[in-house]
Amino acid sequence: MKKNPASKNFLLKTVFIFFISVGVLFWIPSVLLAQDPAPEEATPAEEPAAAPTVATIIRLIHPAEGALVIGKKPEIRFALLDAGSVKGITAILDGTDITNVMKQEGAEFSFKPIAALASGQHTLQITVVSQDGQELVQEAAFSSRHTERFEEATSDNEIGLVYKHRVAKSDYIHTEVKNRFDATLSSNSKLKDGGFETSFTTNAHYADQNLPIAEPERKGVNLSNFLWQTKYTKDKFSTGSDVGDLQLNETPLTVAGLARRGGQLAFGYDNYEVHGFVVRSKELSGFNGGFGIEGPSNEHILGTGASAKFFQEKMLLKGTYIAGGEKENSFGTWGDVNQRRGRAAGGSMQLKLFDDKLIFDSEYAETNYDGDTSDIYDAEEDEAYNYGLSWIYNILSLKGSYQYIGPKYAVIGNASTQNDYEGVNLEGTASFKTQTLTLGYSDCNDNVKENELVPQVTTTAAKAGYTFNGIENLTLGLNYDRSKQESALEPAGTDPIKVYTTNYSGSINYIVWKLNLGFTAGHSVQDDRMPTDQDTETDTYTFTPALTLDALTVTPSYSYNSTWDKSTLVTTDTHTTGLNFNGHFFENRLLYDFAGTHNRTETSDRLTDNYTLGLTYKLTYVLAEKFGVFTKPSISIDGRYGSTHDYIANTRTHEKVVFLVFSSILPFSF
Amino acid sequence: MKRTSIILIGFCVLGFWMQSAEAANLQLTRIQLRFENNRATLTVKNRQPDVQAFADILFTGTGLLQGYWQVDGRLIAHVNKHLVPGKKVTLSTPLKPALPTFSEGPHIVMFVVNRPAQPIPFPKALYYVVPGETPNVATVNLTQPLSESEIDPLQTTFQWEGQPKVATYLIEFIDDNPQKPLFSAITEKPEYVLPQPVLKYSFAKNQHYFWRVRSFDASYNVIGESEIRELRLK
Repeated sequence: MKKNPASKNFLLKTVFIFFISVGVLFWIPSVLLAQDPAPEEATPAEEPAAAPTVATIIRLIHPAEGALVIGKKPEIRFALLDAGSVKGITAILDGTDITNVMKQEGAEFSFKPIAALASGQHTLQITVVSQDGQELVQEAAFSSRHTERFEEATSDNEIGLVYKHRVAKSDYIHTEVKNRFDATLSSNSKLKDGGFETSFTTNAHYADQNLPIAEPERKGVNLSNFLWQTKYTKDKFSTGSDVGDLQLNETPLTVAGLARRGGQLAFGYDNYEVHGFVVRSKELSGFNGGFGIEGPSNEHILGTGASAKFFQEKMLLKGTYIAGGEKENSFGTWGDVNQRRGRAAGGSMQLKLFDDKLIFDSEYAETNYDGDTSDIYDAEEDEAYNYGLSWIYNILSLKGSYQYIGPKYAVIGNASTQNDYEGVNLEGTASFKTQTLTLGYSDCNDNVKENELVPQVTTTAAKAGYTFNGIENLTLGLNYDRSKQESALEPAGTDPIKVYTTNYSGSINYIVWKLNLGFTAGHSVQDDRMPTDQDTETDTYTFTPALTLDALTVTPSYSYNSTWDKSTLVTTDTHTTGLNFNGHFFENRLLYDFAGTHNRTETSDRLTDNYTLGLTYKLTYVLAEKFGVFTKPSISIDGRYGSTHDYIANTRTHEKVVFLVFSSILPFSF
Repeated sequence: MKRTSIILIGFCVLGFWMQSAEAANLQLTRIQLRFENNRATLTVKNRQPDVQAFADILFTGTGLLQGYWQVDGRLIAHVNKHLVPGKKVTLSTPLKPALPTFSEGPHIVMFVVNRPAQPIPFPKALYYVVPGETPNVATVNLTQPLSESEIDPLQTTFQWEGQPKVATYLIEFIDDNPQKPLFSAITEKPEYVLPQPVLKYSFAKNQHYFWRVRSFDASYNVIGESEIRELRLK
């Protein structure tokens, strides 16, 4: 009998409370212990210990040497005491020459930073060249913080408002909204003081319309995404927590590129780090699912990991363990729908030698996975491992890897993991001044455990690629690859598999004036050498010129696709023509956008012959740059048109929808 | 050969499902749509460029995959690809033209599979366009000195084509790390001459360096970027 996954609400709640507690624990002392800086200019300005000759020519007015400045864009001012004796002057702030953007009033020079100056130490270096060619340098150091309480405190926010009202539609359309109102908030805030740092980013959204809203949208207020990050660093110790929409990357064979909502807590000391996380296994949107932390364990993925660096960070060791369950697929995914659960453990090592030119990677992982918790079968165990070596020598870059993934290997939350695979990959690239040549070879097979019920298919592939950019504004690329699939260990009564696939492709890109001309062509043949002889061929030609002017961007495109099927002797041709353009008139007061596609599909057996046309367009008039608190209040005509024509059935359709749209934004930053 | 065609007339959609014996070998087992954030939902600003959707496809067997990308029911690109056993395949919407982002509100992206014929409820991804300004990042055309020139820095004026609506240009000189320029300068004019004191302390003769220019509007948004050019100091 198999056990049902026990609900672990209590554990998850404890983890959640722990995250919040740690955040509060680090926040309170850092705020209480934050040193109240003296107000601007309160720090006594020490007289610069400069050479007397410098002091007679340059007088630093603001900020004074060693001063602490409160503000995001502190003004810098200095004066020449004897301007007549100066032939040239250069002012450099933190390695950036600001001489050309300084304002001069008489003998006084000033500069106001264009963007917020990062908090911390700054160096201002003023160099004057006297009439007799003598070079005199005055250096001044000062520090800055954004507010008295925090070194850095920024909050950039923008509220967007959109109201759509349908003004026209085709009579037989009944699913298009009449009225819709959207309000969005994009927010990005950060606080930093000493070793403490916290940031919060979110996109919140309010939507309402006269018809029901399809998933994953909902009527009312929803969080599209959010992320609250907190970090504390002191000497070699660091800790941090993340709550919200996370991107998890443990090791390639376990958790890689997993984007889910939840929480993560990490501790680090010097080159050692440990962390733990809990995320909802289903992708969440809106408030549904809360922080992603609470709820039963069969809907969550819990994990822990550790890493350590040795030998001047030349060696990196990582280990990870994850466990959890998944009840259903996320929005955007089609595939296995069974409730599943599993756990995985993996360890990896990376070794960098000879100035990182020789890199060795290896990983080993084991999984225990039950793909359907409702059936009578228990979870199965399996393993996966890989070794890789990459070497850069002069113009050569070489890579080689071996990978084994067992047939039952599966990772909870990482359903795109390939299994039942064993193979080697070799690739070499030679990079010359204007040319690059790449050669590759791979050999892999499935049925790695040699199951007698299915054949073992081996795929052997070779590829070659060449790029040339020796002519200014011209890039040329050629690619060739050929693969062979052959089976072995066929069960009795099964035909052997033998298929050859060959791809040829080329691309050329040329930039002339404001035009970017791109052309690609490809030919692909799949030669079925089995008795069925189901050969297919495809040809693809794509032309994408793009014109970019100051007030106009035009991107037409044309694509021709042809497939030929030997088993039916039918050729299918598609012609796809696109036109996108946008631009503006009257100093950005009148804006226009257009995107359209025309597609024609026909088959040689005359069973298919049709076209589709789809157009979307928008014409916007900006009523004012600013109107009270509103920025760029605008009125738009936003429309779509579509038509289809089936020449075989002789049917036509035409559809149109036109909206009147009012929109504006309210930016506020502090 | 058995062939069925189903015409779906939603908003400018005409899809054909062709069921044939030759496609029987290839079977799709999973399709996951996502954007660059690895999620099936994305929030973008009005007129944000280069928005793409991706389809991660797992499959068994060998054969021809035929399908097309559509956004809000409008077909934008066809896909014909021979699949062979091995790793998963990842398809993407084209960059030219990229997904349209000029109309505020929700937009649905789908990858519709015509072949192999499988009764698949094709997954959807949603991107949401919010009002806001996305400055177009134009190309700053560098004029002098030419790429890989050997220059006398005291006699050289770095020049580029001026752009409208630029408040300031930032010229950056790089030795090996593009993220950490060796030296930079802010200027309102599309030209710059390295000052002698800087040459003395930050640059060395007979060494290779790189330079690039970025332009900013009055709100300090990046509105232009140049290529990176190499030079050698005499």
